[in-house]
Amino acid sequence: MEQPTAIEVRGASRRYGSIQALDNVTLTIDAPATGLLGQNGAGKSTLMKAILGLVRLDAGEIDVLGHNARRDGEQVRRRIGYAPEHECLPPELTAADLCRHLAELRGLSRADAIRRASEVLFAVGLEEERSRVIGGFSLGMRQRVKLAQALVHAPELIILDEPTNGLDPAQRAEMLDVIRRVSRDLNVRVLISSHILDDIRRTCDAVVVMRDGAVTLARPLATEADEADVLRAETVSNSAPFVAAMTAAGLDCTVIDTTTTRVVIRSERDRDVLRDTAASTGVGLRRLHRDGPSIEDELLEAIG
Amino acid sequence: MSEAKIHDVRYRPYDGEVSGSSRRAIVSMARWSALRALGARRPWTAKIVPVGLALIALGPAITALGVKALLGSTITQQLPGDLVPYGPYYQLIGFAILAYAAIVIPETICPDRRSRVLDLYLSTALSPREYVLGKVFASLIPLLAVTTLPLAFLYVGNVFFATHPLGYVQDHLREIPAILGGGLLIALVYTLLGLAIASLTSRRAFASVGFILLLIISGLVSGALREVANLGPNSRLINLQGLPIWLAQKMIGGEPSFIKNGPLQQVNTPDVGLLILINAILIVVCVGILALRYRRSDA
Repeated sequence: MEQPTAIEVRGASRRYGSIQALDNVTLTIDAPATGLLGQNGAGKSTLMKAILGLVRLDAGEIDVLGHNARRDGEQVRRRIGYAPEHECLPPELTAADLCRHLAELRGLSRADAIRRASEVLFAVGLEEERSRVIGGFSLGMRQRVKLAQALVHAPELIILDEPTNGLDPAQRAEMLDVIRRVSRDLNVRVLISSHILDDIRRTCDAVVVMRDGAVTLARPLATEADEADVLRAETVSNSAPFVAAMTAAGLDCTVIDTTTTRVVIRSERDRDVLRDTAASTGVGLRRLHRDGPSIEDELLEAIG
Repeated sequence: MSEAKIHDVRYRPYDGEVSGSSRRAIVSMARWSALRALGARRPWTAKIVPVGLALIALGPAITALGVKALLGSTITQQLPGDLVPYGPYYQLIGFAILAYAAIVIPETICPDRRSRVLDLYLSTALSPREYVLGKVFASLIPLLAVTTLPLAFLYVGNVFFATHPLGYVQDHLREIPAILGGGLLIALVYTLLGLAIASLTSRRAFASVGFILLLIISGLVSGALREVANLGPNSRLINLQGLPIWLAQKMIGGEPSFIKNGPLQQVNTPDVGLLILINAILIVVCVGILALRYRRSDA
């Protein structure tokens, strides 16, 4: 059966006093994992809460999994999981008890809630710590508990608000791995907000960039063209033998002038070929730099 | 040789029943909140207050039934009246009831605001109304163990020790609904009052002190109005220390008594009608405060 579109936003606007939190936002989110990128105050959290039906829009509509977020808010929240950005876990409960409790609140029977709590804590790597109280957890473990509770009722979509906030590099890498696994292996669609570009690049298939409450960019991330790196190689002497050898090795080269060549790098092997060919032909590689703006440049410009 | 990996994430898509009923959410909220307030899965120090106050409330009943068990019903039946009559029982355990409401009830609601769990709860399908109802049951049911259980225990004990148990039940039939109703009334009023005050703060200590101060101040103002302004028994209508207890006592039968310059003296309290009215107003005000504090602010 075909899955309904995850999220469809049409002309959503919301103002708080003098601040335009959402400014006529229109977008469709349907990738397995979508990143919501923007600086603090860009409107990411407001959009997420509007998707959950927790924020009333001044104008516009949001459909989530085929349901109107405002009209059918409870039904929407029953089918999606949400992990807020801020600290929101009761310190005196164990991870297993919290997941059980939230599963019951979402309509699971007591027996199913116990089983699901165990499954999701295993899935996020907290199997061993499930009977420890959350108050004794590290920040990274608490973020995983937030993720586990969001998954406990087997939602079709989970919304994670800044899930790597405050984590050290090792914890952050682990958390991103877990999130990636959720969307790839567990087949749960993910919407993740972050102000860190690298987090989105490592976990998402599509990105939506917000600035001052408006969407400035919405595009898929991992296309073949994005993954390829287009480099400009400047040589000291005539680059003809270098280009011939590179082309013979299977690289896509375009001559710009006698000493400048555009080279498409699709893999680490291509980089090695470029380096070795420059050495073997003796052309003298003077400068090697990216040709044109990268996706990072594009995203950074959109973030502002 | 090809490389093979087995990824066991022990996560299966859930295809079981997902109930959309409010009842399950309310029951879950009530059960988990009550367990937390009663100190379940927490160190023994967290259990002392609720268990201790429940035992204090049972104390007079245990003592009365113990005396009956030791002396035998033939001797105790020669005493004028019951060893511990039902009516004044509430006054004997008034301290335990108020202390329970002041200390245990904030425990059900304040930590949710303090640790911001409320945002998490409301991001599920749980509505603010269901949340508050869950908290009311989480506070009310344990409080019934302090208000209703001791009198019910005393009643059952009296039946057990009576020479003619069936005759005792026939003679004291009207006490049964009065004990159940009176206990429920006291528990309901103090539950709602405790929750309403606790909803104004995220700190348990502030909620407890606020509850106690409100009771003390209302008692002092009531006393001042009676003595200085000579307003008579109706001045007691603003005394929150006794408002539901006096009504419950009148439901069972008997007038409240106070120790004043010596032995117990019967005192005049407002009419039953006025007591019902003021208790009802108090309930409505508390529900209003809770509704305001837990309205969905933005959706």
